[in-house]
Amino acid sequence: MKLELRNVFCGYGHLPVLKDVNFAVESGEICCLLGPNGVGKTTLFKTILKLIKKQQGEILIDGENIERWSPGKMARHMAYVSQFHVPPFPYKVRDVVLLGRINSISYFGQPTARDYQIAEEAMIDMGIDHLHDKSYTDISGGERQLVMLARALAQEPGFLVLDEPTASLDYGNMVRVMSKICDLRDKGIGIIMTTHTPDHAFMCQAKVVLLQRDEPLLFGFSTDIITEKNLKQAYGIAVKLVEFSDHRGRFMRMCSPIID
Amino acid sequence: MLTGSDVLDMNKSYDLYMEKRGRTRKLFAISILAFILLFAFSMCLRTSQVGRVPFGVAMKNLFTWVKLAVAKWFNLPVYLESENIIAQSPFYFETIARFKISVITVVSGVMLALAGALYQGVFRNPIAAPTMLGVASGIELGILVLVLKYAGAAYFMTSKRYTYCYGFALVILLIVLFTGKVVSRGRRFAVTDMLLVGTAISQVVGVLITYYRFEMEDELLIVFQEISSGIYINIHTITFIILGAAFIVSIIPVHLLRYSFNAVCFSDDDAFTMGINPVVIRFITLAGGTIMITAAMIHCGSVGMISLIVPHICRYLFGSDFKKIYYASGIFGGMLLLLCRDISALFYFGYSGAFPIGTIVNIIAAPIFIIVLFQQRKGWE
Repeated sequence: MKLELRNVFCGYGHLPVLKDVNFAVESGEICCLLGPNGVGKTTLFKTILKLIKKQQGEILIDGENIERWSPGKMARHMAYVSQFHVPPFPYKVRDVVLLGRINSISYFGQPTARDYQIAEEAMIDMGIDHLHDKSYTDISGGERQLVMLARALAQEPGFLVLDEPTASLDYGNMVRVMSKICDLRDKGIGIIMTTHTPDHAFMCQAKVVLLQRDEPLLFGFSTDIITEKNLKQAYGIAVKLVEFSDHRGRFMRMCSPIID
Repeated sequence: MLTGSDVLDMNKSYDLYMEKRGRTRKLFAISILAFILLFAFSMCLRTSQVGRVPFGVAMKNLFTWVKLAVAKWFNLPVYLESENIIAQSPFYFETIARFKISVITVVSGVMLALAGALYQGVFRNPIAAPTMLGVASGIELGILVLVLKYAGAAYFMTSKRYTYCYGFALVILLIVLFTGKVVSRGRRFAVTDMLLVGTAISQVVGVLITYYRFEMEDELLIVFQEISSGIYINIHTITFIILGAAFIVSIIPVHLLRYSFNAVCFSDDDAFTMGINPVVIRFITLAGGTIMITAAMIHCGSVGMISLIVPHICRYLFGSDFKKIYYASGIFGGMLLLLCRDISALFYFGYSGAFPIGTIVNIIAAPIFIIVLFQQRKGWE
């Protein structure tokens, strides 16, 4: 599957926040959206998910314009994990994951044994099946993120759209969530995620969309886009790129900001 | 890819799940049993009178009632002797009245609890009460106008009473919705605005009602109190038709949506991306919930507190899944309101001899509410 944005203008009301956005993501790829605060990453996401109306351009999945798709059809192709998601009621983890199946259950239906099984598999995939009967409000931030990923996975989508999946996670949980995201990529799911850490793009050999204020966006492979010059231009800070080999001899890169 | 140990894990978790489900079912069975026992107990009470009706007699009276109704319907010869039969059945009219009142109470309780669960879910706020949209003050206003216009005759003007109550509730609701829309100035349907506007307008109407109550003569005041607090309940056929219609109209969509409703309890964006249009569900449930609370409060007096506490009790016992809350609220709402009705029937109090059910509800509900809030607090902070 291929998700393609052509000349998309997006924003709230008539004022465009982002102009002329062009990029494409295919199944089995990760695409990281980078950019400073307030540049319009979440706005772009919401436009892709049709939560806000786009102003111009077209968004295509496998060449088909999604403008007239119903929420049900959208949900079969894309699943979304938002940044803040604490329900006001102490739902059980199992019930939260099962909700991912609601699209195939539809309005008047009830979950079947198959739905339970798919939810179960999604929890095993994310390594959280031991949390079953825990209350969603009682588990840690990292576990919550994995639960939300499992819920999105239970939706059986072609693409996952993740809004800062590692925000407010500790270092260990951040790495754990990132490795699960890489696993999902290896299963052939296309992933679009925002992040504030350029290293995440290196971590999973992702494509990068670098959004900048008043400049056209940059799109390409992480190694081509995340350069000292581009980061300086986007964030206005000095960054040094470090290259090294890991214990298996794989070529690695990292960014290190320079503080004078 | 699933490995062998994963499959084992899955079986284990499935077993655990079945065990949990068994426990939930057992809890449901116990609740239903408790409900039946309570209803039987309630049949043995004599409203505001000393003594009780033996259970066997009550059942026999009910059977006679059904038999006579069938005989009347099919023109059977037994009906000719109906007066004789009734004369030979002790406590006949009391039992039938008690039965009808109990049915009205249970149906009202079910509707109140469901309305509460729906509102709390839609507004994503554990203390959102369906009375906040001003329906309750609309009903009181309706009764006030009725009493001012017809004085003591208001007791017997069943259909007028329903017209006034439903009419004024609708008017106040429309005012709240319209004002809320104006206040939110074209933004998307802002639920908090609605609740605030509803509370404000209720206050204004409340002031109006209080003013007229001070102006009223004693006799009128008693009439107003008895009707509005639910001491004087109509048990005419029309009551059952209206209550039944309100119940069926509101329960069918809620019953059909009992699982999808969960999606609305998360954020709107989540619901949309999961393939459910939250606006549709919210509209249906708000309409259903409002019909429920209006009908229940017209037929049972000011007992809105039930709608606030029962969903919390059910969530504490059965978890947050709305499908379970839906069934559990039905059982516990009916049970709790019936219990309050029974307790109010045990007291001999004041001028009319009856204790207002709303008072009992508040006495029972307040401590439960505080306990439940303490228990659940960590859940929604």
